[in-house]
Amino acid sequence: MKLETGNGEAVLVIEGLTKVFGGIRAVDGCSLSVASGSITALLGPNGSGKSTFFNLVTGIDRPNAGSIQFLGRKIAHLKPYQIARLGIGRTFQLTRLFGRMTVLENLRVSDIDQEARSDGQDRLRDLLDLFNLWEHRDRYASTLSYGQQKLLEFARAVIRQPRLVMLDEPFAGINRVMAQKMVELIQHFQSIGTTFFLIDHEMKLVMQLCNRVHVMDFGQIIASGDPDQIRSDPRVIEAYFGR
Amino acid sequence: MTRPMLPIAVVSAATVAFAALPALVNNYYLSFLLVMFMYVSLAGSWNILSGFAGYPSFGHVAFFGIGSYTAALLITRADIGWPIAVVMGGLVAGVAATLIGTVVLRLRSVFFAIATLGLAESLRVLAQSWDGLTKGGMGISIPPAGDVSVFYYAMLVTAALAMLLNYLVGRSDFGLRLLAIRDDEDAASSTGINTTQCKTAAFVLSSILPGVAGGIYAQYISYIEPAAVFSVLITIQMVAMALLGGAGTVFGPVIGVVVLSVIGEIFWAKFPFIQRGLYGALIMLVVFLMPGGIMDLLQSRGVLRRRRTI
Repeated sequence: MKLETGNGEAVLVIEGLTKVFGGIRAVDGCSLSVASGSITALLGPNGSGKSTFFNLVTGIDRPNAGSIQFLGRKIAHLKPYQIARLGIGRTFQLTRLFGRMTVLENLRVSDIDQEARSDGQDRLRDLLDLFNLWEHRDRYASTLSYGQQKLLEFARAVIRQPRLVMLDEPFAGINRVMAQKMVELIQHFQSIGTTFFLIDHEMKLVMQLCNRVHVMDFGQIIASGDPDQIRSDPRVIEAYFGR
Repeated sequence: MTRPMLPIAVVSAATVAFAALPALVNNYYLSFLLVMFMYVSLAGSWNILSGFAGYPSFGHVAFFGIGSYTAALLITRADIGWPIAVVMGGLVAGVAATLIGTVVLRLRSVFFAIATLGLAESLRVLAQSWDGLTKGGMGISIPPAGDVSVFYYAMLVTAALAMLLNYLVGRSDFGLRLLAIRDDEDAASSTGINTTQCKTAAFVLSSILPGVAGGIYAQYISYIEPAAVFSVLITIQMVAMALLGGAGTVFGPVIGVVVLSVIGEIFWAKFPFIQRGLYGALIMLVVFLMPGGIMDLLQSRGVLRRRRTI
């Protein structure tokens, strides 16, 4: 089966992905792909299975059925660290930083497997400057504001220079200024070749930012298309607002 | 002197000072210090796995017991000199940890704690019932070898190695990975850290010196039995000491050992009939009032800087 990616070569191809928790099919035969260099969104009401979908792709949970291919390689059986090393970075719905470590250590710990360490400190500084976090480098992550924690988690997701970054609700719980900063950062990394796959409920931002949108409801993909197509899709309107 | 060298210099100076003690004090004090060094080895080793990586082992006495029995059997049955037997005790404990770790490290938090507690109890029962090898509840008598100062020095070296190990882990990238696992294992794995490898390494590192300490203790006491060297009380002691000082810090466990050893000795001398009850109440107070331990208290009050190497 050839999946429609919108444009460009697919970095991530998912077919028939299924995850069952007890009697609940949290993800039910989902197929989609993410085009290289794109910003792709996965939308859906609360409880529709989006975060479970992300957890399956990043190896936190194991699927019951289906395949996940990243850059042509099957990854459904791999552990999270192996998937991360292949080039997928991620954030979580509720930030999951190493709270008792400093900002700098949060990045260092994710960077320590990099072969080229000679420029390690400069790279960390450049990255923290980009995220407006350098001045907070020696603070414990748990003492940052929620918005700063979101930024730090994003920085941690890109420290290994991954091909694909998966952001789980990057705009949730942060103010407009911080959300705008987040948008700028996503666009910056996209401009240097990073592909993004994100979940969020901030429709306006998502529709402005993304090239392609998939919508989930009750564990299934109910619509895929560009933002304009999704906006007017009756199945999406029904999923969000009911009949 | 550079800052990273300071803790090593302090430990080295203390080690030299303690090395001079046998010429100055009587056997009572030497025995007290010997047991204190044993607990520095145990609490310090426990700290590698449970303090840094956050995997609460309640069965670490298993490695102490394995070391004790390995050394005792090698000395009494294979006629091997005690220093070599003690080293073998540490190695066998390390091998056992490698095998056990592949199973129990699949579990987390309270499940891991219960599994390790069960493991130590299983080994105690095994040692109790395997008459042919261990002489069961009769225990093994070991011919004495040297006076208390010999074992005092051996335990001092083991304690110094435990502290050095903590220091090296505390300032290494490996230590940073363990701290990441402690804070959020899934997130750590998602950043590319091979958590299984790190946890197994920590488990093995935390098992070797308890094995060595067990071997030295066996030869020092000249008699071991399952109930003594697989006693859950030894685990409780090492956990309480590490928590009191500050789990996950380099010097916390040694501070906890010194404080609890001295207090325990005072309780024993002043209140011999209720000393265990008092000791238990003290541990409960520590957990309630100072969950981060003495190090956390000193750091939060600004007495000590927050650094990973202290």
